[in-house]
Amino acid sequence: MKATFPLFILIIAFLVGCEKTEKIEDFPKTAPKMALNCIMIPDSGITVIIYKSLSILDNAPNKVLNQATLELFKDGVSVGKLEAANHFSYYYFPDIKPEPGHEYKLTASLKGFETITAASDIPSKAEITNLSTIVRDTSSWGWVYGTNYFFSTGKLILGLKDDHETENYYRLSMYMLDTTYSFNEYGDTVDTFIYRNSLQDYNNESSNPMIEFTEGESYYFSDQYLNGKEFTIELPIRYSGSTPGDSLFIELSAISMDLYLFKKSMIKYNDSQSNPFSEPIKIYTNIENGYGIFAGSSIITKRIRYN
Amino acid sequence: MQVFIKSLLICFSFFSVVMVSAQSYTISGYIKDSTSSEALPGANIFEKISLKGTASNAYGFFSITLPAGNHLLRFSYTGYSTKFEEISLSGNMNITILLKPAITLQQVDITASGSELLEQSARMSSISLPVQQMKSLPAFMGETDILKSLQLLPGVQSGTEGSSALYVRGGGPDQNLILLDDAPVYNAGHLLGFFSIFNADAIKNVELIKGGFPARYGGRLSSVVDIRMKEGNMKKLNVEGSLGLISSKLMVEGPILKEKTSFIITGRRTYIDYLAQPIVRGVTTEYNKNGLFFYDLNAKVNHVISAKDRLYLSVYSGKDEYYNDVLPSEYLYDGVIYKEQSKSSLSWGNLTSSAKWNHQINEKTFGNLAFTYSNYNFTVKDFQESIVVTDTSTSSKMYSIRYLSGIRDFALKADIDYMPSPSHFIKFGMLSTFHTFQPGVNTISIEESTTNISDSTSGSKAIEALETGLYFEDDYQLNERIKANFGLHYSSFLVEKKYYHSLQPRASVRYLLPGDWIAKGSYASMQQNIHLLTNSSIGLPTDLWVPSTAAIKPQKSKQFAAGISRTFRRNYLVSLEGYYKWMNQIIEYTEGASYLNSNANWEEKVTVGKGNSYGMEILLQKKEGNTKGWIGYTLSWSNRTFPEINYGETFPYKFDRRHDISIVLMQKIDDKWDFSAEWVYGTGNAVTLATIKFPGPDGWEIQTFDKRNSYRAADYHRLDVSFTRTKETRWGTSSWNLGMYNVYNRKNPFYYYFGVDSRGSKALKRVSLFQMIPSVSYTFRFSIPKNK
Repeated sequence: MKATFPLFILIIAFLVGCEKTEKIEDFPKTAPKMALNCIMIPDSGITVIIYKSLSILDNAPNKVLNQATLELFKDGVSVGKLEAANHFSYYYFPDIKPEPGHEYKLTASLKGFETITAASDIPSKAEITNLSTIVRDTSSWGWVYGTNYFFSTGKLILGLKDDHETENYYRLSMYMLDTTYSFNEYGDTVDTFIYRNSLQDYNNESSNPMIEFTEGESYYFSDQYLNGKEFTIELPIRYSGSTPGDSLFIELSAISMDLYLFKKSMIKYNDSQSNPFSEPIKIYTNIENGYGIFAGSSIITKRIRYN
Repeated sequence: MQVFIKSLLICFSFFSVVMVSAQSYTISGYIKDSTSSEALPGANIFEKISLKGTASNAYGFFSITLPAGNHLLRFSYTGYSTKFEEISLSGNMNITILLKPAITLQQVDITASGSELLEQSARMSSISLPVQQMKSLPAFMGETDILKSLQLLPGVQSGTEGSSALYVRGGGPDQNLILLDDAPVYNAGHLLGFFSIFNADAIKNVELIKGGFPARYGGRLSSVVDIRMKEGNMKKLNVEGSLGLISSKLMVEGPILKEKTSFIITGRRTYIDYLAQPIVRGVTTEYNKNGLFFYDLNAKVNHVISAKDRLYLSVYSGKDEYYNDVLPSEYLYDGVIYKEQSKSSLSWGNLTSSAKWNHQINEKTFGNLAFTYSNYNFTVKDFQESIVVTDTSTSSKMYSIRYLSGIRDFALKADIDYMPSPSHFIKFGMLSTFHTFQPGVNTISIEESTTNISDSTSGSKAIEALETGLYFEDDYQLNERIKANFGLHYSSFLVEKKYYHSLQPRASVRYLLPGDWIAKGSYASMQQNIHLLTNSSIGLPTDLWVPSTAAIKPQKSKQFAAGISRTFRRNYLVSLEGYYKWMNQIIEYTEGASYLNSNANWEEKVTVGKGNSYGMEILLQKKEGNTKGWIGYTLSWSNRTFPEINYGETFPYKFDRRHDISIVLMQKIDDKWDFSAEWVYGTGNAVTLATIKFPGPDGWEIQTFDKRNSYRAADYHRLDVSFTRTKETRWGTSSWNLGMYNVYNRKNPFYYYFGVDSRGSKALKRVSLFQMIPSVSYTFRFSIPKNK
């Protein structure tokens, strides 16, 4: 079907031979607001960055607002206040470690802007009941540019016990640590880098109906149909890399609903950038009177053998 | 179902009692055009003494039962001379009334009479626009367009610049039931919707119903456009043709057996592809051949089997095609001969046909049985072939890809018209349609040196559905002041083991007010079992018809309308109507989706929501005379609410148009010259544009907006004019038409995008499509034998 796209462009080009394009001078400017970004993680300090939103036709560079007054509340009680950014361009609450099961609220005020408010809870860590892998086949591609490449496919089996009292949203990443090399003009290795080699099987990524969307190496899903139940999710693995790949890492994050909706809108937004026919996407925000995201995420990292 | 049948039986019992009256006889027959013997649908029959009246049905048949004795019957039809017949009734009579087309104002009966108000139908929100009037309106590039003419009526809005799509009372383009001789038309646009598929030369009658739908219609929420093809002249051969800037057309009609069998055949083809060839060659290579064209053909045969039986066969076939071929080429490199060629095309078209049998069952009952076929398909083809010839071997590789989507219907329809007394006009019947939906299939074939062949087919599977409708309605004259049309429409839809059904009540009432004013009110409940997946801004042939499924339920609507109207001297009409419409279970692409996301099932790309629309329409019309025309004004609101769009907040529909004005003037200057002009104005469409930007958590810039459809495009307005000079020649009639579209060169918005200006700064830009466009066309017509 994508083959029709260039044809349409040709047709439209054919038809609009007499078209006229004009610059619109009176497009209304939007009043600037604060755009706040903060993802809270348990056992870490809270880092917040605030930008000034710009009207779409504004050619000014993005500007960080570092003179705002921030106040942080935990379950309705004030737990911290900052008069200005205290860590480079960031507002940093080093002593406040978000705890799962609590609601955090942040207000930010700055002269010339509407005061913004945002609230989010910190989800409890996911409860893993089973974690295993099945390797289907392994093979070696042989030596390519002095490196032996390995290939394998398999399956990850993850058992979860969902908390029935809350709506739960999850992000799952799986990867292997792999090494990449850089060479000089003589073909000698001059440096090596360790990187996260995603195991996502892009050919089969939508084969699991529970997965609502993906982003890079991450799968996103919710307990929409399995609230409070113990369930198993199976995901295909596709690996190709320079090491045989014995250990597999997973990161399972319980994320707040706001982060889930924000990510979902961002994925659609990024996908739509190359498609002029796509429907417009409104980026999700939970910032009252402003833009951005204020959300929480609790991560579990596990390493298992893969062979 | 049982309830429906019981209701039907009770109604019959009731009317049987009503119709029992002493010494009453029935006058029945057909009302026809005296010059062609074509039936005149909707002609009025009025008895001047008893003040009883009725109207002819869609096939020109009428029946009126009156007491024995002398009667003065008046037969009238818009654009025709009124005829009076004195009848001494002493038994049932069967007569044929021939009405003459009115050439001048004086020939049209414009005598004022309060009693004529009694003829006024109970139905409202319905307009019949004579095709001859449509032909005299200024036409885009000289092409008379029936759907664009309907856009000039209040309550009907155009979409984007140049589009022939109809947006009726806040509904979408999928919510219009467009019928061509009872066969549904699923894509009524040529050239991406810039022209409609209907050739005005083949059309006899067009009726638009915006609300107060009679029970016989079902299956769409917002409107019915009932188009009837001409039947063909029974008396003489007529030839009419025209040559225009982009297309030419020819119509031939006449008797096969005089007064027994007639035919009509029309054809139209554009020649943009030939005209544009020099330009295309200038920007492509000598090996390229590409172009764009459309054609359509209409044909109909009408046969009188007996005084009581008629047979109609009609066919429409039309196609649009864009092609881009790389002609076969051959070159030699390093002792090897390479041969290459490729062909790609994109085509879409409708094929509709209907076979109808009319039978006059008795003096009071008329039956029609119709079998219709309708097929719309959209095809993309891409074919590439390469051959490599060496001294010792020849190898070839052939690659072809084909994408097909569409919808195909077979339908059987039976209608009975029963006129037991002048107070009742009962209609009942059924319609059963077998749909096959093809939401998109890819076929890829690769063949290498004839030894290695691979074929694969992928995409959505075809879905079959059975849609059935039963209806009963009565046009009931309660007393001199009150007339009502009430009915029930039962609809069922069986798809993939899922069964949807609904009972849809319909009612409209007319009340005669003092001072010759008429008040009308109506209620209609509608259900639409099929949906159109359409892109948000332009009507593409890729728009996909899909059925309701287990996940996507049928769309539903309820509409109330009320209004008053008054006709002065049978020539001037003033009408004011208000309406409120609720729509439920309507679908829309989800945020970020489009038809290009071909790897997703269509059900995953849509979301279900609701909408409402309300407004007020004013029509001031002068129907006859040397100066004709109308002023239409619509004040309206149309909103949509989808839980998954705009985060559940209600937003304006993209064609929410607060003000819509049409002013149409048709002026006969003298015997040779005619002038017409139209001015249209509409509030700008609601558009979604990014309004703000800021960096996201990863530092990349996000461009978004606060509310969907919150930006208003510039208001739309333009003036079109046309002059026609008609000359009687010794062989017939010829006429030249000179037209100008968008006389004052208004740059109306087609779409907006963000680009950069001359200083390299980001800027919003508006693209306008059609500015001032002149047109010229030549039309000729003659008859054999020649008109006297």
